[in-house]
Amino acid sequence: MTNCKTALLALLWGAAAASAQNASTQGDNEWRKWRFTGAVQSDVLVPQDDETIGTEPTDCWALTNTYVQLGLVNKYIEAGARLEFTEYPLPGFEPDFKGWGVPYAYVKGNYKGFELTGGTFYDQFGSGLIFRTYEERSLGIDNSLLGGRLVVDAIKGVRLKALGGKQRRYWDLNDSWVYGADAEFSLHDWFPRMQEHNTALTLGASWVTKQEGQDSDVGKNIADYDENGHPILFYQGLRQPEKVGSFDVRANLRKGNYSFLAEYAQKSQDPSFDNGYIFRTGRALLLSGSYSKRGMSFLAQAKRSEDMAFRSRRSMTLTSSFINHLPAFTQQQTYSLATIYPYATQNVPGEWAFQAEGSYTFKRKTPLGGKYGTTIKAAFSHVRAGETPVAADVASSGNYYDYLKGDKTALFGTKGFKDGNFWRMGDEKYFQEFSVDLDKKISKTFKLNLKYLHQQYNKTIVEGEGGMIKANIAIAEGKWNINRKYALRAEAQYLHTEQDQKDWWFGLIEFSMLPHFMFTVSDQFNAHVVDAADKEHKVHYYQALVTFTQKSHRLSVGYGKTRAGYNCSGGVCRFVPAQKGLNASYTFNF
Amino acid sequence: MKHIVLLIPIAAWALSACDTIDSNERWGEKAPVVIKKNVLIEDFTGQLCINCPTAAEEIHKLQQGTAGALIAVGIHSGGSKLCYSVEKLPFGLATDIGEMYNTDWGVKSLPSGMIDRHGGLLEFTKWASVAAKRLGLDPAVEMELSTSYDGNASDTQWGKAEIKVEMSENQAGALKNAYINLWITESNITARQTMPDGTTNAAYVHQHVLRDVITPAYGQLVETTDDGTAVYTATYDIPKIYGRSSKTDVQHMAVVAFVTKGEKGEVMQTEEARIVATTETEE
Repeated sequence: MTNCKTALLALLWGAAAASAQNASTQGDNEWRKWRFTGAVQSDVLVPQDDETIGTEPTDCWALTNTYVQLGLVNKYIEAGARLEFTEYPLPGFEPDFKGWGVPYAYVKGNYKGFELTGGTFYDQFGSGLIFRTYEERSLGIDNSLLGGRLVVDAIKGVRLKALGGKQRRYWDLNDSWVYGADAEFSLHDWFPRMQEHNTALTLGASWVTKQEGQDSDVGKNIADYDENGHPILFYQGLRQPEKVGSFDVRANLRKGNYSFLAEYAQKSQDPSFDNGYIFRTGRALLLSGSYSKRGMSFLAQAKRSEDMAFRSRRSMTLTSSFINHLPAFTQQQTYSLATIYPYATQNVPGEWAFQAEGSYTFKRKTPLGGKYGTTIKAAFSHVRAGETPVAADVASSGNYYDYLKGDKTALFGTKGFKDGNFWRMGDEKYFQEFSVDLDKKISKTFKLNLKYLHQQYNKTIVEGEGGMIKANIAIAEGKWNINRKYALRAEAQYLHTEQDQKDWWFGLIEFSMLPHFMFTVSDQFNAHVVDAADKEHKVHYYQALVTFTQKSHRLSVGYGKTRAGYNCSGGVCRFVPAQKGLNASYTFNF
Repeated sequence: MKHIVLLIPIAAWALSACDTIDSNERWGEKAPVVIKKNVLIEDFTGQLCINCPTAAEEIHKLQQGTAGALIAVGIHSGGSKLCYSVEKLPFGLATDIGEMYNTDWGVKSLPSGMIDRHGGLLEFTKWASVAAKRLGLDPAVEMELSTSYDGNASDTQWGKAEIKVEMSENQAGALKNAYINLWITESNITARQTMPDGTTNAAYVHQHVLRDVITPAYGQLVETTDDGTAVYTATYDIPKIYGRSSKTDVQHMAVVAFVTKGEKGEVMQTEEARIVATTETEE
């Protein structure tokens, strides 16, 4: 898919507008002030084979994911386009990810509260339970819509959106049409007394429909015998609903330091590969409460979801073609060993998820705060199965017993599970994590961070095998500002588990020569991953990296090995195979 | 203006709709499948893959009613990917050639399958439909596969299998630029398998497992005579052990022969024959 012409037309039109001598009919000089913006991101790997760690073989001497985005903006018009080059992609992306072109281009105009977009766009309704299009390059996700969007902010306290289009899947568009609308009403704009009492209430409602033609390749073979006893085969196709509708309602209340959100979404019959082609209603409920003030914050939230995988192509697998995105209820971890067991949201059959986080800063010059203050954070996440009661027509058919034995096609064409007690929980734990974080400035130049995590990770549910992994992780990080020019940072991490690959160590030292240079060396080491060349020598996943920063330019070049694992963001994960070689990364924003 | 703007969400709600299909309207008419050719299913699978037994069961269901026309080969592979076979452990069923196929075809999740290499990789819910369509096609090529077994065993081998494939064109020129592939499979292998409920079944019986490839990986170019026929012969020494310790039973081994249009093209015809002739029937 190449939208070079569209991109060029958009940029030329913007340039022509910029050079126009006459301003708008209102004679507004803002019309003439154009800004040219852009961003470049390029990640390159010069790979080396390493059988010990299991690198993927490749014929290419270099692999790269490169993105160049350009835009023209003034007060009323915005146009942009993005060139993507993934013809020789980094390891671990889906085969269809390979390609290059201009898959993203748009023109947007806004005037007196009306904003109209034509081309490719991203958007989200509420928390994304029925609609969220976004880009996440590290996962290879870009599910943008190509079509049109109208946003109306013309009435005080009311925000309306209507959009429609076809969804991008790598270098193609899925055949289905996706269209929807969203309305948000900020009641505090209508009732000034609410604002006087520091209260804000927003009500929202959304609708999204996917229209997709029949997939003639979904059906079943039926083996029978003719009158002579000879085997005979029949094929029976499954009729799928061509329109799948969904709605979302939400209320968001803020009062002083408190904030509460309640959101419910529902989706009509949507038989798909994800759910084994059953005809069941999908539902999701999200409740969240938080308190925040200077020096203290607290968050608690719960989510229940059933069969809420909503794709623009019902037969699709892996990470592409999702119309919605259920928020992850687990902490996004940044320390290396804490990311070895990341949880991926289970859209089907669904899950219960709970999360609580709190932080408190002991003030400086107090007994617990010390001279410079101390911050302590605690977080807890728990995800488990929801109950999935069997529909009556399924339970009596006998197919349910085949389903229990593992035949996911046994419920083909049935309701599968009835919409029973939404609140009841299932027995199986999917993920649990508890962490405590201590952040303390020891002296004027030295800061210490200590962290402890306990994780329980159901590897069978998330990855398909492996059982329940229980891990304890200890992390220590120290930052020393030596002087105005030099800084030193060091990390030490240790993961202990009796399961899977057992214990891991990680160490990192980073030396900064401000403002331009940073030198980093790190090593991740597991006692049980044997080096084939020397069975007594354990594999070291070492990395050495030099980073140079100059204004908006950032270039890092390094060499080393990376272990195979999962890269996750927002509950969506991509398997990344082991890598070894020279890596470089460049970003530039203007 | 305000009224017009507020009509937008109402109109959107009115336009948004959904189809609801009652339980008695979900299935189309039963259409008989007239079997005219054999069909090859390449099932990329793994011993630690929890959904793979479901795919194997799907193959078994598909084979019922086809009287041997649906020929399956289980390619255990995946390396360090999502679901992988334990090639380095006892009774590991993965092979180097299977890993190569896995990488070449871009398999990203297990189970995945190809039906006659038509339409690329398919998840198993589509196998029934695609297989039914392929079974009903007029075959471009006819094949006759015969094997003979010389059971002169040694310490490392069971003996030799003599294989002969005779091909003829139903469509003129079908064998031009065609490639003959000979694979060795084995059934009734008892080895561990992770089940859909996460448990390990150490006594799982694996069927039609790819053990070896006799021809080059993507086949040998067929040399035709002027009358559009071709004959390909091969001799295969049958090992007693594959990998580190995966023992074989020649009684349950078979040759799968298939001819493709081009080196990696669609499969035009497939045949299967046991190495050792027997009246015993497979599971």
